[in-house]
Amino acid sequence: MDFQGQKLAERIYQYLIIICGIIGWIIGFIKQDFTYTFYFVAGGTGLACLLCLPDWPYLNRNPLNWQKPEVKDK
Amino acid sequence: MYSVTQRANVILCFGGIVLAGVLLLNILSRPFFPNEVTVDLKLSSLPRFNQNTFKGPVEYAQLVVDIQTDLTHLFNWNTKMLFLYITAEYQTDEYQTNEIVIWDYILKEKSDAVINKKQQWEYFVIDPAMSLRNNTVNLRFNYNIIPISGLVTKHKVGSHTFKLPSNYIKA
Repeated sequence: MDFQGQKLAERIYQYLIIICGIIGWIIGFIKQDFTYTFYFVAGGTGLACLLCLPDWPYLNRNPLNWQKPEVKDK
Repeated sequence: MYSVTQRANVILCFGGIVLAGVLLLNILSRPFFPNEVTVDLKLSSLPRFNQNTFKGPVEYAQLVVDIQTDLTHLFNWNTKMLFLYITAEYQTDEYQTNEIVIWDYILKEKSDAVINKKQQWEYFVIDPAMSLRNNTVNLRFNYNIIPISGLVTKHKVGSHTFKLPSNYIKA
């Protein structure tokens, strides 16, 4: 995972869980049952784990250009 | 964010913080729900009223009550359960306030919240001061709302006043 990918992953999990929390709160309020809110937040956390934990290819689109190692002649 | 374990830690912690946040908003929504009830509470019968010896002389009375109330609107999304109890309150020469629980009930389901119970009694009114005869007793309906999170709130409504007889009733 490169630096751009780390930044993207951080944005993804933050927005995802907060939006799930807001939607879950509204649905729980309408249904008058906090279980819905809990499942939304837990589901959002699980989805964020799925999207951000493994080293997916979409998080590796800006690889660092390392300098070539110096080859020392003996 | 450079390793799997660090990402897992950060994401799960953030999920917990958001859960605490929605729970806090849930608690803040509590004052907007109604918590007033009307209750119809009255003494049904007085089968036993006598004295006995229990670590000294005591008077006891068996108060059988009828309760009718609708508690459905108390069940909102932050209500775990309700604890209902009826207290008999009376005054003696020595103490201003005497409260004795004569009936209690744990209400867990919204579908059971319409209460229409006749001929209920659980506990005797036991008075070691021997002051029940000719005394005025006030029955009150108490309900504690036990929430999912937040503070337990206690409420006391309804009132039914009656006078106990001057003679014992032998069962």
